[in-house]
Amino acid sequence: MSDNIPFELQVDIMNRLPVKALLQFRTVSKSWKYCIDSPNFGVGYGARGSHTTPFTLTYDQGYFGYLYLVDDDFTLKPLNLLVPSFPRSHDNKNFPYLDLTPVGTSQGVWCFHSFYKIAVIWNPSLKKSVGLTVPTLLSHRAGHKSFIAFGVSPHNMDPTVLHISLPTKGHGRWFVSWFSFNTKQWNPIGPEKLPRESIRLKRSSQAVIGRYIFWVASEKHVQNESTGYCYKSFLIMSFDLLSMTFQEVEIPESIRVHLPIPFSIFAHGDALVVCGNIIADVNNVFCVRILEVEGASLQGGF
Amino acid sequence: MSTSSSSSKKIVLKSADNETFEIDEIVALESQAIKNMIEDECADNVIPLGNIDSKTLSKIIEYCKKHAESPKKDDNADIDEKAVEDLKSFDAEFAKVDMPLIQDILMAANFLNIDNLIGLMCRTIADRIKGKTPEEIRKILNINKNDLLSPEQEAKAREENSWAFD
Repeated sequence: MSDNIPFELQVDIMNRLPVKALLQFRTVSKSWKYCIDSPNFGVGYGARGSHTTPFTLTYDQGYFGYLYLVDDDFTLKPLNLLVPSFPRSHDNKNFPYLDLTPVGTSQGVWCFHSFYKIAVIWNPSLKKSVGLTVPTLLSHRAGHKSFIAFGVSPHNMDPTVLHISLPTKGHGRWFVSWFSFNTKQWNPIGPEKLPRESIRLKRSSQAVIGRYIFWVASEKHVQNESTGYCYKSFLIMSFDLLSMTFQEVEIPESIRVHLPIPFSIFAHGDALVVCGNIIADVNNVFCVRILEVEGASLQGGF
Repeated sequence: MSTSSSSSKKIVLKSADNETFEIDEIVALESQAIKNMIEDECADNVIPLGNIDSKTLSKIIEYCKKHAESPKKDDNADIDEKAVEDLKSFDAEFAKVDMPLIQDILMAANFLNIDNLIGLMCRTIADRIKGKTPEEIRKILNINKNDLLSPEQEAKAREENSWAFD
C-alpha cells in the first residue's frame, strides 16, 4: 500500500511522542502544528520520561533575558545566549530549592517561585526547568504586595508568568505584567483589563483550566459608613491567557447558595473543585463541589 | 459440542495479490471488522481483502494467531505474568521490520480494526521518528507538499519553541 497514513493515525503517533520531539515537530506540516497547538492535544498527555540534562535558564533584572544553566544541585552557570554581558547577581550562586514555593501547574508544567524573586518553570517530562527573574522594577512598589501566577497557554503551549501587584490596604491601582517564553519580555496589562480595585486575590489559590487561571478572590464592602461595619464577599476571578484579561466568574445563583464560605478551589481535569467547611448545627461539614467549567464560566455541577 | 465446532471453524482471507490464507475463526475474530462481518453473516467462506498484500497479511495473521492464543485479561483476573511477558517480547520482535512494512501493517490493522496492533504500530513509529528532524518525518510519512509551512511560519514556530531546546 502506498497511500499515506490517515491523519487520525498520525495523531495517534503524535500522542506517543515525547514532549520535546513534539515541540520540534510543530514544523513538520501545517496539520501537525495545528494539531500539536490545539487546546485538546495536551489533555491526557502525561509526564513521559526522557533523558535530557536537567537545567534551568534564568532571566535576570530588567526587560532583557539573561540566561543560566542550572544543575541538579541548583548551581547557576551563566548561559550567554541572548545578551552579550553576564549579569552581576546570582553569578555561580546556588539558590536553595527549599526556598521554592509552588505557584501552580498547567499542562503538566510546574511553576515555583523563590525568595530571590526567581520563578522556576519545571517540566518534569522534559526533566528541564527554566528560571526567570522577576525584575525589581516590577516587584517593589510602596504599599503593594506582589505575587506571581502561572499558566501555559494551551493554544501555543507558551508558558506564561503573571506578576500581580496589589495595594495592601484600601483601594489603589493594580499593576499586572505578564511574561511569556515566546515573547521573552514583560508586558504590562492595561487598566481596562484588570479587576476592580477593591478586589483581592488569594495568592495561593490559583487553578488553571484550559486557557484560564482561576483564583479565590474577596471584596470588602462597607455596609455602614458611620459604624465602619464591613463585610467580605467571596468570588472567583479568572484570567484569560489568550486575551490577557481578568474577569469575575459568574457563579449561577443555584450554585452560589450552596457554596461553603470561605472556600478553596483547585483544578481537577476540566473541572473546578470548590471546597470548604459548612457549619451545620454544631458540626463542621467539609463540603466539596465539582463545577463544570465552560470557557471561563461555571456551568453547574454536583 | 458447539464450542469445539466453532473453535475449529475456518475462515479464508484473500490478499490483494490473490493469495489465500486459511485461518481459525478465533484468529480472524481478533479483527473487529471481520468479527462484525461474521456476526452480520455477510462473510462468505472467503473474505477478499483487496487493499492488503500477502506480505502484510501474513504478518497480520502471525500477530492475530499469537494474540488469539494468549489468555485475555477479562478471561482470568490473574493471568500469569509469564504470559504477559511472553506477549510483550513477541510484540517487540514482531515490530522489528522496516518502516514501509510497519506503515502497511498499520494501515491494514486500521482497516481491519485491530486495536492492539494499531497501538503497537503507532508506538513503534513514534519510537523510530522521535530523534529525527522534521524534514525526515516529512519524507517518512510522505507529508503532502501543500501542507508545509512557509519558511517564515517555520522560522516563527522554531523561535517559539526555542526555550525547549538546548
